[in-house]
Amino acid sequence: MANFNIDSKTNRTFDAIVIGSGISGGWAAKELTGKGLKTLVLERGRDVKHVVDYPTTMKMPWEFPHAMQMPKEVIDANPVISKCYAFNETSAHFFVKDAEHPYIQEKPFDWIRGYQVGGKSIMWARQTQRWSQYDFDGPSRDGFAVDWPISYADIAPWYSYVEKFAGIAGNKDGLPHLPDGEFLPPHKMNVVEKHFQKSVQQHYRDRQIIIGRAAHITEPQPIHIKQGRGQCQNRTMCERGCPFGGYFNSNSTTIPWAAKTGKMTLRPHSVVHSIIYDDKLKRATGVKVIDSETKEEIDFFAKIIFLNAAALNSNLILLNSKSNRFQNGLGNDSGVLGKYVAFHNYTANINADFEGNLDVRIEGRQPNGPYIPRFRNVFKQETGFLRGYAAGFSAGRYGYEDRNGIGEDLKKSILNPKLNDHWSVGSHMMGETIPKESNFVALDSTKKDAWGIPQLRISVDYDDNDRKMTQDYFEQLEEMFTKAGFKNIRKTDQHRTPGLDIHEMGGARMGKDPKTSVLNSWNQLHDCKNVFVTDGACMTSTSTQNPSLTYMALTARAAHHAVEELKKGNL
Amino acid sequence: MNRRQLLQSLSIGLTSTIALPIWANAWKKSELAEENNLTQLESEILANLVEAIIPKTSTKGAKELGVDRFVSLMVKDCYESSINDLLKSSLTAINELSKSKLSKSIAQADLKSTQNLLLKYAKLGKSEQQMVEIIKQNTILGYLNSEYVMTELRIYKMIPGKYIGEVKI
Repeated sequence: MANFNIDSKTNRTFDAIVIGSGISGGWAAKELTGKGLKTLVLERGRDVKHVVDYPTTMKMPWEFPHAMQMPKEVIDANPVISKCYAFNETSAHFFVKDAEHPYIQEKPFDWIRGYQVGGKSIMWARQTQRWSQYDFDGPSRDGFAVDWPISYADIAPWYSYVEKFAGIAGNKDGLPHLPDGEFLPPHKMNVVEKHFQKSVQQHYRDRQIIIGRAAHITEPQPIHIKQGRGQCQNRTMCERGCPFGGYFNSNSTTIPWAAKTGKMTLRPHSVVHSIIYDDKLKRATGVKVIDSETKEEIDFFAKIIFLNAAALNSNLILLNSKSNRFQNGLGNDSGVLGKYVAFHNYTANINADFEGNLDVRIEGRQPNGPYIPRFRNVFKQETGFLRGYAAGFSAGRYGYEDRNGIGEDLKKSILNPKLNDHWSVGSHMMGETIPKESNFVALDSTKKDAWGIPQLRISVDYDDNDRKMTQDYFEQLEEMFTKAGFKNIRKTDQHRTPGLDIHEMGGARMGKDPKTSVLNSWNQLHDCKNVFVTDGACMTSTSTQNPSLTYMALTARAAHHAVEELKKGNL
Repeated sequence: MNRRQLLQSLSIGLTSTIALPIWANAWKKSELAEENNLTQLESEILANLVEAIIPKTSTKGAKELGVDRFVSLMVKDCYESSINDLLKSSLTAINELSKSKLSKSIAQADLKSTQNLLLKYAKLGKSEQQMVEIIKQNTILGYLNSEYVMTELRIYKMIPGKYIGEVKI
């Protein structure tokens, strides 16, 4: 009979360790356990079990004391996190408290984080588009970053693989620069969105409006039933966590699947301090954890390590993983680690009114909307700026109440809202940014967090390319709106801080040359092949797509390679 | 099936099995009436004001729905503390105005008189107008967001289950 009081190294040794249980970590857990590896999944936050730990998901509007607004005290104490569109009384418990997780903004940067099992996959916007070869070609064609060491052909089967499992709704649009996926029935556009689509089709050759592709189950497949998930019910309360499992998150899908194998050990409250590198064995041997509650230091050991802590967090861990061999951070011979961080330019909005289709309204809700794939510089460089932007688009027919006066008339008026005499349309920009050496993260030399880990210095900013691109977005969308008969066009530059896009990427970029990159074509550290980084940190360029689907595909691909390499005895 | 049972229990308000962060509990506490920042008298005055704004007709009015508690909670938690002070002093001032103009307290005044008084008060100056506006907008919000209104009058669909992008009016 084993003596459970002895903390033997055996109990802390696994085949694989996954750092992080968010959108990519959950996939690493699922794939590695699926291949029979005894896998330790470390999550710095608390556990969040599907449905049971979604405290607000069944709450009716009147059950929120402040009608879903946040108390001023919370907003004042959390100036960064309270900027996030998804942060409100229904979801605040899934976001970090600014004061508990300090970082240094060398330049203004809103670092939005969710530290719990599932991470930000609970609150994400569920938009999922594949990269095309045109996106992977970006750096080599335009020369603004090192070449991607992989092509679309390498990742395409893995996009299919993760799409089928996750459940992605979309329309087969046949666009070379936005490949179709394994789709469930698409969401539908409303009448004014269709009007805009038609107008753009009539007036332009080079651009399209399509229905967005999103991680919602519009028609459950056998695999989803097996996962215990059902059809999305259009509640549009996704950031609370979904009792139907109608959208993809780790909590509903990958983590339970991994748990089912019996091979997963999930350890919440585990802050990762560093990856342990053995100078003699010339490999990573494990992970040093600081228990977030007891502050106890515990080492865990494994043959392979997947780093999925989220883009900047993974950079932090690598930088903090120092050894005799790697004095500047694990795998950082090149000096490139932490550098070439980029993000998505979300600063521009455009809104307008449309006076057509007034005999029609909308019924129900939809967690998705139209998408404008990138149309600038796709097939060749042809504008005064590099790269381009995708955009969201939506139309709505809103109501209003005449709120004049008080008393019986006011009451009658607010109980009988009228439809606006116009539709409201809007678009927001999602621009690719160029990774630069001058956009970087680094460890602070003195300041530490509550667990003794160096705080992260973030030095990331917009550049002239972003400003020119924003200008172009305004011009193009205004023209498209005008041609569609949209009136009262209002352009807004929100002067948004980088980071609020929540698509920060890079710092541990993939590349062909170990001198200028951190990871190889299999997401392995060039110089420590049993460590894999498959979250946003690995991205060599950002393109315009919402990145999570690509993180999932890269993770599944790398995990399978890791297992193959293990079997061959290479790791 | 386990999931269905779970969903059913959730719908009767079973609390979660995990400890929410402290801040989440902090604002749950103020759901309870004990946390009211107004005195008994001030609450009574506010209750009459919200009723003046959205009175009982053939359907319930704001007072019966406890909208005054919502308004005082919103002012306490979501505005600058100076606004909270202004609320308290405004309520007293309105009651005094009632006593001087109507020779009775707000609690004793009838609906029409209360409404006229509130409108008169709002015209006294900029901060009075601002305060009345804040009370009014939060009264409307609390009323429209109430269980009664959302389940019986302006029916709220928690689970639409569909999206139809073109419905003829």
